[in-house]
Amino acid sequence: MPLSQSTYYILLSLREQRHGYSIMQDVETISRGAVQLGPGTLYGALSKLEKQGIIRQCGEQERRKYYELTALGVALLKEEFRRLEALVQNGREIVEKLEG
Amino acid sequence: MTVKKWRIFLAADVEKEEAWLNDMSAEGLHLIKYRFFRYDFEEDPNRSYVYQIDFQWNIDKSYFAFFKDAGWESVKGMGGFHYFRRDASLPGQQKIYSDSQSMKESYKEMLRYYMMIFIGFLFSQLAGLLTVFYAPFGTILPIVLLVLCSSVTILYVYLFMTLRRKIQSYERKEL
Repeated sequence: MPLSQSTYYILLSLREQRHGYSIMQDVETISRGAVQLGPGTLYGALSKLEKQGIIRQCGEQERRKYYELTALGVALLKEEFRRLEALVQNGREIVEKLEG
Repeated sequence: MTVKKWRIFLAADVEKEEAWLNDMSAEGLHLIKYRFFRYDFEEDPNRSYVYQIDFQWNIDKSYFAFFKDAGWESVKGMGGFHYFRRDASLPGQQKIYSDSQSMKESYKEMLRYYMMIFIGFLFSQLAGLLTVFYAPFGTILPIVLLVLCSSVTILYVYLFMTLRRKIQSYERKEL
């Protein structure tokens, strides 16, 4: 199953332990400003990813929950990266030769 | 000064409700409390807010802390509907749902929630409804009960249909 754009960036940002708002800020940075997650989107995504065992809670500080990737999460992210890379590579020559 | 207004919005119409609250705020009336179809507004022509409504019925304290971190001030709502606002002049994300997939998930969550309530309602009325068939002919109470239950059922079915339509419209946007 391909990951959604938001999920892909959320998993990338969890390369280190983060709380919700820190994920929002990091996603904006690593996407070069292209992706600004809304808190509703992120909150829903985090509880879903946690239920699926892709991320887990690793602490709480001042009512902020911290999350990290599980082994499954790391594997999933690597797999998705390879899938996206293949998509770009397979399309590169064809798209570059397109006129217009 | 506080201004009170009464409005009924169905769950599937949260986006209409948000648009209405935003229009009100642009005119200087800012929602400060919602309770049973009653909207309390605070008047201040010098400010303007963007309002957003989130549906979550299973939350903890970290939920509000997170929205606060993200720059959204919580406004008193009720039930699973949480009202948030932020200064309209601030830069950044003006929507709490930034993609159509998560918007769709939110409507699905509403649908699940209301279905649970509806099933609970049906079970709670089951015993009463059975008396309709066993009551002596011409007894008025079981008839009243039957009419009441039917009305509630029609209302819920209508709610499910409108929510289903919303979910489908977001599914089309994903293609």
